[in-house]
Amino acid sequence: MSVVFVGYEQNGKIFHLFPPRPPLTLDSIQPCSDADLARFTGTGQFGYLRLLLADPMLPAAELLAVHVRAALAVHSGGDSEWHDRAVTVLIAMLKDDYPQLMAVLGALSEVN
Amino acid sequence: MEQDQEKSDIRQAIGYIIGGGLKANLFVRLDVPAQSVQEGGFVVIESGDWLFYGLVTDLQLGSLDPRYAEEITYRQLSPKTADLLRKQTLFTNLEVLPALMLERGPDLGSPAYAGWRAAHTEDPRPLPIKTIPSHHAVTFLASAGDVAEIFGSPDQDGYFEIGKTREQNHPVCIDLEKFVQRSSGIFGATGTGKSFLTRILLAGLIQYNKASVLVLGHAQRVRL
Repeated sequence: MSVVFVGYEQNGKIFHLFPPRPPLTLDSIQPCSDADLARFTGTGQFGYLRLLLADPMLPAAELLAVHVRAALAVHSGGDSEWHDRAVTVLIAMLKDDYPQLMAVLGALSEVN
Repeated sequence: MEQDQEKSDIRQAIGYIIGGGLKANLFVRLDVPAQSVQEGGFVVIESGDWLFYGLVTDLQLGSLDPRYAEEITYRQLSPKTADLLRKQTLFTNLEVLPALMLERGPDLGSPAYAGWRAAHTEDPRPLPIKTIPSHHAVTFLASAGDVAEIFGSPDQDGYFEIGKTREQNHPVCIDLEKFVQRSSGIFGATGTGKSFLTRILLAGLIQYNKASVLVLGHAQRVRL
């Protein structure tokens, strides 16, 4: 299994950046709870999407579609405002890369 | 009535400057629907201590990438996503011919105003354009006050209303005192209203008794 870092929490504040240090060998990995996911994605900022898109080896469109579906499920039963803001940020990030943007928006259309 | 006056003096922002120059005209990125602006409309650009006055000469549809303008791009998207994509990738540019500028100074309430006013004892007046507004200067449709600043107000003595602006119906006047001091000509293509404008001007001159009117030549076309 491989993991891509999309942020960290320090002193109760969430940052959408690489963590200051990597986790140590044998540190345990746990899936986020719904509450964790809601807190991480509900900051009003979408900087972590940039980290997902930065790695050309990742299937960004599919990852984003799965992520958006999971995040929508924890945002008060499918918060369309959250969805619109996320799509707006994605368009802003990818507007100079037409094929990638259309792949991402096409995958997100499947979510709806 | 006063409230109406105040309302008509509030400028409506329509976009911001993205480029251009004195010779090539200024380019404004519209952030209102294209249909809210028309060719020939008067605009005001606020940039620092200066106001710039100009005329809309062209409207152009643009897109970040020609593929975003293709209708086929939007077929596979949900209507909402398609709208979000259109908002960020398709736009309208306005071409503005800058004509006049006016130094308005710092805000009336700001501490810098007293110093500026001491250095500029005369009331500012519109000057021929000699410089340009900065990038991202906000562009407005001219308010009734702006149009009156340039063309004069119909309430002033000697000013005669010859028409109204296209979008907002602000009165456009002419100073008859100045008008009669020099020769004037009215030019335009067939059907653009030369005879109509001539008739209005002659009616104004006669009403204000500013000059003797002598009609020669193809007078039969001007029905007074």
